[in-house]
Formats: sequence, C-alpha cells, structure tokens
Amino acid sequence: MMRKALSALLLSCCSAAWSQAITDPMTGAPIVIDPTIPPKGTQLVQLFLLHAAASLQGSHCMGTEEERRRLTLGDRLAVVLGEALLRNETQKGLLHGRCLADKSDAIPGRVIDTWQCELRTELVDAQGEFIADASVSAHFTRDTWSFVPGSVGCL
Amino acid sequence: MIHTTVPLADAVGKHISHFCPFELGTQDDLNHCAHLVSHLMGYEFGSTCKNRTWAEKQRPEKGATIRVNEIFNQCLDRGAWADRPAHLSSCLIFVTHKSNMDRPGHLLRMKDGSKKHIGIYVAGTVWHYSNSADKIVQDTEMGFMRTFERAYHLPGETVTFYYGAFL
Repeated sequence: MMRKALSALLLSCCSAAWSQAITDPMTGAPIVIDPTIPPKGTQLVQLFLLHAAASLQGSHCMGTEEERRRLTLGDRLAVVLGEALLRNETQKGLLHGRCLADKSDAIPGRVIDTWQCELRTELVDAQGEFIADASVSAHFTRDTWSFVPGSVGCL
Repeated sequence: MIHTTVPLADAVGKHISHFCPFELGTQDDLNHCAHLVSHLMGYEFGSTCKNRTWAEKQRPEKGATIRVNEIFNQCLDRGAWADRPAHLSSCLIFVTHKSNMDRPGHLLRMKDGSKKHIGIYVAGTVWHYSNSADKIVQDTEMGFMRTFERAYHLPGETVTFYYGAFL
C-alpha cells in the first residue's frame, strides 16, 4: 500500500516536473496529442531538446556512474549528433529517428504505456557501407508525451 | 583456452539472428560486433539486447552485452595491443581512436565514441561481425587491422588496437 502510494506520488511529481508543452517548431502553436500516433520528425527532435537537462544517472550511457551524475540527455545528444560530423570527405553521416510503442517500468511498481523514441546517427562510406553509429533513446508517456525519468538508453 | 557457445569455425558466415532471439538481432542497420562476441562468450552485463523493450525484458532467454566499451572496461587484464603478454595467445581484440581512450587510474578505459569494434583473437586469427556484410567473418590479425585502419581513418586521429583477457 505504502509502496503504491509512493509510486503514485513519484509519477505525479515526475510527470509534472518533466512534462513540458510541446509546440510546433514552425509556429509555436501547441500540438494536439493523439495517443495512437507516435511523435515523428520535428516533434521527435523537439522532445529530446525539451528534456536536454535530464540526468543520465541510472542509465548505462557514457562512462562511470559518477560521470553520469554530471551528464545530461543533452550531453548524449551532442555526442550522437556530433559523431556524424567526425568524418572524412568520402563518408556520409545519416540521421535516423523513430518511436515505437513500448512500456516502461522505470518508475518502481508501475508499468506505463510509452513511446520509446530513438535518435541515431550512422556513418557510412562512399559505397554506403556501415562504419559506425551512435544513438540515444528515451521513453515518453503515450498520452501526454511526458519524459519518463530513468528511461534513457544508449547504443 | 576459449569456451564459446558455438565453435568459432562453425560460426563463420552466420547472421546475428542465429545467436540472438531478440528483436535487436533482426536489425541489420545496427552495430553488432559486441553483441555477437557477447552471445558467443556468454557475457550479460550493462546494456543488453534483452533490455531494449519491456516485453523482451519479461522473456526467459538470456541477453547479451551490446556495447564495446562496457566489455573492454570490464576486462581485468587489458592494454595496448603492442603490450599484449606473450602467454595471451587468445583474447579479445579491440579497435578505436586513441582519443576515445583515457587512463583515469592505473588501467586504460574506453570511452563512448562511436568508432569502436571488437573481435575474438586466437593465435593470429580474428573472428568478428562484419556490419556491412551482416555476417560473422574470419580474418588474419593483419587483415583485421588494415580494414579498420582504413575504415576509421580520420585526419588528426590515430587508429589504435587493444587487447582484453577473456572475462
């Protein structure tokens, strides 16, 4: 009972803290969210930018746990996007993004419906063959696109 | 002595999905080098192929570590390839840019730069996952090094090789 109440409190506290109004980056107008349609294109990029200050603590991204306490989702985003620029003139950097229906148990005692969204850069040679890639993913609630704390993943 | 889930000679030519029961094993556009080595060696720590979705986390099958630097940093005996101890005739072989390494204590550490690769080295031969051919390949030590010196070449960067004793 106590655990359930604590989880509910955590969810409401964190949802409030991490729910930021997502707007159309061309007009600034609020976006109407349809829980059956995943974020895409500019919305996907904007979701990551809006939560750039989120901590990497508790994830497996980037170095030691001590370093992850200092690092943010924005830092990982910089690494992912920056890696595509570290190439020679014959190579190309590609940006991929997608959101898939998933669930998250990042908040203890709760399993919630989410979109697992990922941004990935891929470096290919002149023939289009794979050289390297880097990615960052995070969960956002299906109904409000709120960031789920502790859900950041890296590959 | 090396113990793999499948004999290395039998693994050559196989796709990662032969070893991985999870969705990650079907995605050919991703880097599977650490993923393959971990399935062959039975490594399951840190980020794994099983932890990608909630539904897959509930399944009973074992997952496998998917990040090169997490494997390197877990090796108790690790260092520059040139410093590999003579008795280590089989081990893990790593390649990355020198700038992707640091030494916070007495041991080398691999950071999170994207240009990194891993294979299994046994007496002059390297088995690893070719992400362009989407299958396990076998190469000589020199052939492996030439491939990655070319692929990872970047002005101002040095491509470097490292060893790690099996976990």
